[in-house]
Amino acid sequence: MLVEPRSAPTRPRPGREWSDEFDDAVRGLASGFLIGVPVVFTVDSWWLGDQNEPLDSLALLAFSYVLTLAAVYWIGFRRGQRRGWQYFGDAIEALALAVLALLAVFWVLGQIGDGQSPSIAVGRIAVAIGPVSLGVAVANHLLARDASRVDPDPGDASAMRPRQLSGPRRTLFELAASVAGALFVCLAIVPVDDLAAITTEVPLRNLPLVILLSLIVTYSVVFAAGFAGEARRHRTPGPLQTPFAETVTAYLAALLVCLALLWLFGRIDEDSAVMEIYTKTVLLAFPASMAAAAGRLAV
Amino acid sequence: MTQHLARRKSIAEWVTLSLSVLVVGALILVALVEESRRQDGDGTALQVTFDTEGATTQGENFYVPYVVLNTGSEAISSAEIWIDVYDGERVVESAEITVQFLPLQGKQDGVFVTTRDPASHALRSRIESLQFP
Repeated sequence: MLVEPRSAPTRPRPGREWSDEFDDAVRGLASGFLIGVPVVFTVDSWWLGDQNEPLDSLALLAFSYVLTLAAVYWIGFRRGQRRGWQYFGDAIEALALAVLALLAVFWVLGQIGDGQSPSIAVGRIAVAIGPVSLGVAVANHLLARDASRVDPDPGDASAMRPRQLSGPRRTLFELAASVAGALFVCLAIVPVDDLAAITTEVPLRNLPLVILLSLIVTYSVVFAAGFAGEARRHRTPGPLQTPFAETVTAYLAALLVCLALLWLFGRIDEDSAVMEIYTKTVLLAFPASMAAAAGRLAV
Repeated sequence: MTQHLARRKSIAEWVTLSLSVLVVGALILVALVEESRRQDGDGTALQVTFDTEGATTQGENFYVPYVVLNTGSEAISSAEIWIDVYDGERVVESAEITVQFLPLQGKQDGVFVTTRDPASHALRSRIESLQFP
């Protein structure tokens, strides 16, 4: 028998066991990407992983598990109340989600499974797994189910405004939020010169996969995880209010922000080859599009 | 007001947990296998292979692809390697290459540029220095 706190959603919900599992996993993954992508998108962390010996990697994995366990205990990523050993299971699941996320990212970037040895994969995953699994473990806070995507939080500047935006003004506002989200990440990445190193490390043939993964993660962040307001968003009328259109819009906003900042910081100029501009923009748009999608959650 | 609810882990939760244990377990297993392979390795060893048949010419230069492979049991943060071009037993050209970040079984591809035809000359490498993380 379990005493449920007042208003706590019960689990498992009859008939929705599988969809709840899927929602929790995707929501955790989206949160993990948002927190972990700055570390994953740093070539120094790849090189550090390359130099790790397998036992060092196992030590990092154990350390990450302990951190994740603490985060799962205090915040978590699962629907409903947890207890006892379930925290240990949840922490394993968060770690596994982080492993799968990192496998996907590194594979898409051509950094594992492309002739590299297994110890490289283990080393790179071990170095980046901490922030990603922590991100998964705090999904209930970062991408909360009960936090509205359409109502501002108390204390937000927008909460003080007398009326809510609607129609074209709301669409414009959401676009601005996407741009702000993308700017947030790009301003941290573009000034440092990691992008040049990443550009040389990622094979050209992998760039379409990078675009595809960017779109999938963007879609997941905004729609697929059952966030509050999702149903309302799906039925809101308007040309930019379909799931596909919103995902593409967030991605395009990210691309434009990436181009603008790369130009502004002198990472590309009028003498740059088209392929160089394309490569840098697509690679930078990978973390930027996730932030752009997260930006839309904030409005 | 509180509610008392009977709780049992659903099949979906069991499946998720089992798959998660498998994924993390697989990662640990790979790390242990790699560690065992590392301990069975023979200390520090670098292997440089030249693909003289894949060499191309551009003007007076020959571009010879090479691969540096860390076959030892330690990751290498930096390696300085001399490449000598032999005409018979006589060294007619030398050059140094530096390779950075060679993990266990890690490899680095590159191209060695020489004015001597690799079809009629021998290319040999020797390690000058190694640095470890």
